[in-house]
Amino acid sequence: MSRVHVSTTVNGDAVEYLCEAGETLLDVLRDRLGLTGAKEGCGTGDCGACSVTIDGRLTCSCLVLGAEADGHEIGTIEGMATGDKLHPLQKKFIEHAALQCGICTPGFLVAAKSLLDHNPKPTETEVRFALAGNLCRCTGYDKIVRAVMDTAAEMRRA
Amino acid sequence: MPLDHAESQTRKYNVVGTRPNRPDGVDKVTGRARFGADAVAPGMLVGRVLRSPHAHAKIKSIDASKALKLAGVKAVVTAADLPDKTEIKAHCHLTRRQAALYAQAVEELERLPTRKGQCSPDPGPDNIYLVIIVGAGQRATLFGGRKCFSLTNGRRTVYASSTNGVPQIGK
Repeated sequence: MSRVHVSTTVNGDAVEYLCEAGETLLDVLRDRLGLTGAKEGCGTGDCGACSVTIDGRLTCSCLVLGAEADGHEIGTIEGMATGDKLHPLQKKFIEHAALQCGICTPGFLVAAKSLLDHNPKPTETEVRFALAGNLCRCTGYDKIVRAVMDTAAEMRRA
Repeated sequence: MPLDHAESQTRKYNVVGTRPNRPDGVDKVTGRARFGADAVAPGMLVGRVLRSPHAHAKIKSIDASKALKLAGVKAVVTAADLPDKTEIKAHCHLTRRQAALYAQAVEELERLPTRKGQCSPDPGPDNIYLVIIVGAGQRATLFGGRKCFSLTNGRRTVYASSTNGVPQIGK
């Protein structure tokens, strides 16, 4: 089968790649572009570890084909920090110990950022709802929710 | 010495009682942290496990010829490529003494007559997946109440199962 030529934008950089027609965006990011921040937890859209944004919309990259990214803007965890400067969410995750093993963390951060981009003042219920598509086996979620709430409060003050 | 001794209250600790940030925190929140699945090496081959679609089914044979013909497939590894360890089963947690008892138990189990409710016919060394040895007064229940061979010598009971279920030991 011939490969598909795709022109897209990843974290603001123009990117071109050839991928198999059946290859997921997650596999393209990890295996072709070397962006291994997005993880494959389940491969079926249940765990959210592969979360990315496509044109600003939160998506499980394991459920999207690499070929579908053509002409769209992809955002991954690698694009969250600006140089050495961490995004407030990333800082708060460390401060609140909202991560342990770290496999789910990139997905949670991408999902949490997507929430705050759309809703700068979420209630705890809204935070929990927005993160319901991400599974974490270490933290028990509470610290993650606190980190996101605290970040929202801080970003509103700033 | 009491735990709240005056001396211990005045001691200063560098780590205990503080709230340090994880040393690997920055790597993990930026996606830079390298997990096993993130590793890449030049010329690396990728292996995938194909499991039986049927729980607890007996695998009679595996025909890998079609898989081997697929483009890019370098090898298919099945049990036939591995040394036969069928007799070892799940007794690696046993002490040396228990292991000796196990060997004896397997021997006796093979001679054990078929009795209703207790033994199934002919366990055979290759078919015993799990052996549990419990002390007097204890009972072992095998996962799902599978076929279970038991043998008592007054002080200990040996349970052996032809399935590799999870044992539960109780009174």
